[in-house]
Amino acid sequence: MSNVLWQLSTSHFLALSAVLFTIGVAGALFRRNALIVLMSIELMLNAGNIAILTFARLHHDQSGHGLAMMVIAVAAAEAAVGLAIVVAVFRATRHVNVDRLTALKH
Amino acid sequence: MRTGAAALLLVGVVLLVAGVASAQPGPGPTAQIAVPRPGGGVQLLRIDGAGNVDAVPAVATDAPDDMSAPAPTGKGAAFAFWLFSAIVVGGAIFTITRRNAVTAVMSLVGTFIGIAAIYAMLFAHFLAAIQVLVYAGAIMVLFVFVVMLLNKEEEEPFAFRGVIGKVLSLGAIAYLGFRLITLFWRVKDDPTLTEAAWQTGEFAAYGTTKGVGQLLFTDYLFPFEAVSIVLLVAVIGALVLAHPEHVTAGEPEPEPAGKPPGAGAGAVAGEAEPHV
Repeated sequence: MSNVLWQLSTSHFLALSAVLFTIGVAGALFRRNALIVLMSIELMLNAGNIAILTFARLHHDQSGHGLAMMVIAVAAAEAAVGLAIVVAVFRATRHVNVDRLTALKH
Repeated sequence: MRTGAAALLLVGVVLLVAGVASAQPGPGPTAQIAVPRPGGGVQLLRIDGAGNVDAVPAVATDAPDDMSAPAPTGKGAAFAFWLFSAIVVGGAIFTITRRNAVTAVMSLVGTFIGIAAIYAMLFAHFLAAIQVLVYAGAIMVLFVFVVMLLNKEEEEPFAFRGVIGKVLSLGAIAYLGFRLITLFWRVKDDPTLTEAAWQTGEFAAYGTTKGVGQLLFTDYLFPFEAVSIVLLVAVIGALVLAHPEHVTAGEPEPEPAGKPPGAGAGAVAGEAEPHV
């Protein structure tokens, strides 16, 4: 037990990544505010980044850093477009409740 | 609760500053090459943000370098890892449970700063800086602006209607994560590969701006340029989506007549606006 506490390994970082991803999934599932759902998606992307960097470190391969950089850039683009969609939806319907956005439901 | 988020953020900032202050002095593996033996002490000191650095150099003389281990070694590194993990997980839980969106954004900033510290522990120094600049800086400012634009109290913030299916799916995700952890818990580094590679000094620039920059501008030049196209498309798409009306060139932006932005305009505005 103390070995697990005081001797870091790759698994610690992977476990942190899994926990963070699970929290992000929980937020995306249980929240109704579209903004909080977007934040949960950011959490999941960051969890994936932690895993990528952990494996890059494990294999001493810097390519993972390039991939993580791409993930951050795409996450920035996703946040910009997602927030623009949220603003447009709010302007049209005066709310951002994802459970009430049923225009595409038949 | 807002004071709690502020305290979390403050703790994250202080720890990050402390980590950067102790991390900056040595460029790490580069100095290690020039002076092999004492450089190990420098390397370990850099990770150690806890303060108990005196015992580490004696151990570090045995190890060739901290880079050869699959994870940062030493009790100080472990203490820093648990501390930053607590900040990250606590901030993430805070983010998804708070009713106020501003509080959620602020705790998310603390989470991202903790994640930057975790990146630094993984020798991804350049990405740690990028994380602070892009995530905690740019993206969070964007979130704050949108929250200010449409700050509205939710009547029911949590969606518990299909709760059984959601709990089941969440349990499935958590189980998947648990299985992945137990699978990867036995992942070991290949010592022969890393030791031999380390002797050649191939990983001197691992994770630094120089190393990542050389990688991005040689092997990953095309994806790097493609990302710029993605960002351009995202900027244009965000403008098109968030713009109220379709404005033709040369025309001033038409002020929506008879449509006050307050109450009572909901139905009218809903019909007048183009559907998204």
